Amino acid sequence: MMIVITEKAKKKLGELKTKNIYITLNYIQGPCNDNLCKMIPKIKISLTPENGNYVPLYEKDFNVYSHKLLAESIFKHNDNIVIDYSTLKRSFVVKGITYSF
Amino acid sequence: MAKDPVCGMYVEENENAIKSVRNGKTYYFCSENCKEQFEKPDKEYKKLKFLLIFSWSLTVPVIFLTYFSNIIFLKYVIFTLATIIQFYPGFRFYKGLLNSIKSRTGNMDTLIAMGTTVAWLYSTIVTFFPSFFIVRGIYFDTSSLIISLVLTGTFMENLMKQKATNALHKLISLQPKIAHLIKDGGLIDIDTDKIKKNYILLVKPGERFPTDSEILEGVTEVDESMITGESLPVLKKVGDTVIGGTLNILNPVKIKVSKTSDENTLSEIISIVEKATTERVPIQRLADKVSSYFVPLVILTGIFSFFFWYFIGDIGLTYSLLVLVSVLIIACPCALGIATPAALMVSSGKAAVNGIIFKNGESIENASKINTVILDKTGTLTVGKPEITDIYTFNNFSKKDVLKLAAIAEIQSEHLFGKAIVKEVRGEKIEFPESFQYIPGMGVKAIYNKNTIIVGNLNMIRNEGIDFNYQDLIKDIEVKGKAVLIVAYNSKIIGIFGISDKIKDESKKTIEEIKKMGIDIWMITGDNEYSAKEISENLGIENVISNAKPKDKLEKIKELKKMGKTVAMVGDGINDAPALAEADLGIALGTGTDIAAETGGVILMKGDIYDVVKVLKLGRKTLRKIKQNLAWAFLYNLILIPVAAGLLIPFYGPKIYNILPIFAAIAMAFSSTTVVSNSILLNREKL
Repeated sequence: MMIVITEKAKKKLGELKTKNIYITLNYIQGPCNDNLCKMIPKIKISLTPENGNYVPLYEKDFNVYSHKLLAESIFKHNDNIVIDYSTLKRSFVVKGITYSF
Repeated sequence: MAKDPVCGMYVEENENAIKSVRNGKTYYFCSENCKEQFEKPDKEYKKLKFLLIFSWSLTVPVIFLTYFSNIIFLKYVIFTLATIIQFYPGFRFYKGLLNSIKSRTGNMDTLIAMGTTVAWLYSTIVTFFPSFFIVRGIYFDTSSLIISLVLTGTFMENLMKQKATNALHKLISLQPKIAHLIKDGGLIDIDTDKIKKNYILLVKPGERFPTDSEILEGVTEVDESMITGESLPVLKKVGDTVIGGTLNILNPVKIKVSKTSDENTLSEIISIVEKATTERVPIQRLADKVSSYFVPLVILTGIFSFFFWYFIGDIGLTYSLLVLVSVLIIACPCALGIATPAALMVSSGKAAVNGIIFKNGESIENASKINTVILDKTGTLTVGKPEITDIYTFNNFSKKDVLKLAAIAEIQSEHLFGKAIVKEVRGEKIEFPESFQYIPGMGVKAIYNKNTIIVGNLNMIRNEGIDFNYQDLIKDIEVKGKAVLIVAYNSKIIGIFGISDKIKDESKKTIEEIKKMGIDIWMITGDNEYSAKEISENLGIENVISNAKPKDKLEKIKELKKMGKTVAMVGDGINDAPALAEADLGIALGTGTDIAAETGGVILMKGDIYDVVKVLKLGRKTLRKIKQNLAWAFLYNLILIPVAAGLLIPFYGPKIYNILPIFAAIAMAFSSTTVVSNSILLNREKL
């Protein structure tokens, strides 16, 4: 498992004077009201904890925390994660998480 | 955290959680709606059936009367009937719309509610304010027909879903409701969920065993086919274990309960299969991404098409609105949403009734990608009941003495070789040693009456620094394909055993079938190279690793994975646990009772090695089905949304929209049913 925080993301974190990143697992309604159709898990990045319990994923120059379930999936699949800052979306984005939880 | 068995969402298990108890097991839900679907699946079916009949009984007159809509009085009758349809059978779509607004997401109901409302609202304004319009056609028949058709589609899909979940329902129905408790010399009938451990029960012929138990009295034959997939009846005698839900065929037997109904094998299987079907698999990622943006995109497409045809295409307000209605109605996000879960549901159900338990959805997808299979030898390819075939003794020790001392050292051992030694001295009293140490991959060391007994391989003897001069004899035994165990007593060699195991009948066929699928096979064994060679040559396995310690299996899996191989490990669920966990797919040959303790993504309940072929085939067939479903769902929307948005206007003119919204509703109504029906076809596939 490897976590890379891009220079752009580091710069933004510096500007915001924070060292903590929280990766949260949220669910949104599936496309139909049908018991076969499941809720869709969505990953959200925030600079403050949102809900539930977090576990540390990376603690060096910056700290990355994630929901326990998400962390289990990341460790299980040996994911290589990239945390970047999207100027277009004006938010932090995460790539490389295997979709299995 | 617990998983909602209906929608798959993870929910906190706290006091305020929405929960339901079934067979003594607590299930947690994200909403009351999910709880209701779980507790009363028939309620939704009955309600839908009533609404469907009601909706059609009003829609038919609406269609018929529309032909005479130039009679002003009839317009009001049509309006009344269409309004009832719009807001009674159609209320479910508004409810869905409200939920989607609350959760800020779009779903199928959003589109149906918007589409039918546009047609109904336009027709209502035309009915009451005709002077506002040049063209005064009403489209109550369109809004009513769309609602009835979509309800028909939902009803059909429900029927299909019942077939898709048939296997799981069959498993649930295996649990008998009543058990006969033997108390104070008499029989009392009690509810199965009130059974406690160590209760003594009577099971008559033709009845199912209420829960996992041990036979106390009597001999019978048991049909285990619904749990393990084994078609032949199994003989059960005193001391044998019986699985809850299996059928007692021959004689009445007294049993002692070993597991309550909420923790027995059947309940574990049901909960694992339910969990597996709620999990998301990597292939679903694309469908999920598209689904999250689908509804807003469709609404935008519909609005854009309306403005385009009204201002640029100049086809008039009525037809432009019908373009909007057609786009909203034809789009089917549902097919995308259920493409993967429907196939997983059928597949895991089919596997479960064949005695194959997929512990999670990802394992089904992984099974389709396997290109390398690693097989453990003992107990996997061979019967796993080794027997001592050669005994050599030294230093004036008799065969009986050597066997007895070896048995004392091995009495606490779980290793198959240890069990083979203990079996040889059956009938004699074997004492326990003062201390016992198991050294993985080597052997055992015990202290008995202050004497040291060592039973193990040559590495063990060397490690202990014991002189050994019988290399030639060892070679002679090994050349015959047998394993060697050396017995040392107080640092003196006193005996050497030759041990051999039989190849399982179905091993050869299994290897041939796996090879036919283009999959590489490796055999890893702790046995010597001669023993390994004997077995591998017999079975046609070219890649063999012998003298392997447990960690060697792990290393080989890591090495193959680094080479880019997708690896399945087949072995014993307890002893090979680390290797099973490391592999992309761990296939455990189960003992048939303790599936929760087994490591690995797949458990083969009857321990039949040929089931490995079934796992790999089912994985491939399921993934093919998921791909077909997804392709259908994507292509359906990609082709039909542009058609609804006006692609046919240049060829047939705007009048095609007199019927296109109806065709849109028919197409939409049956698109989801097609996905479920296609998934059900998996049941017909031969494994």
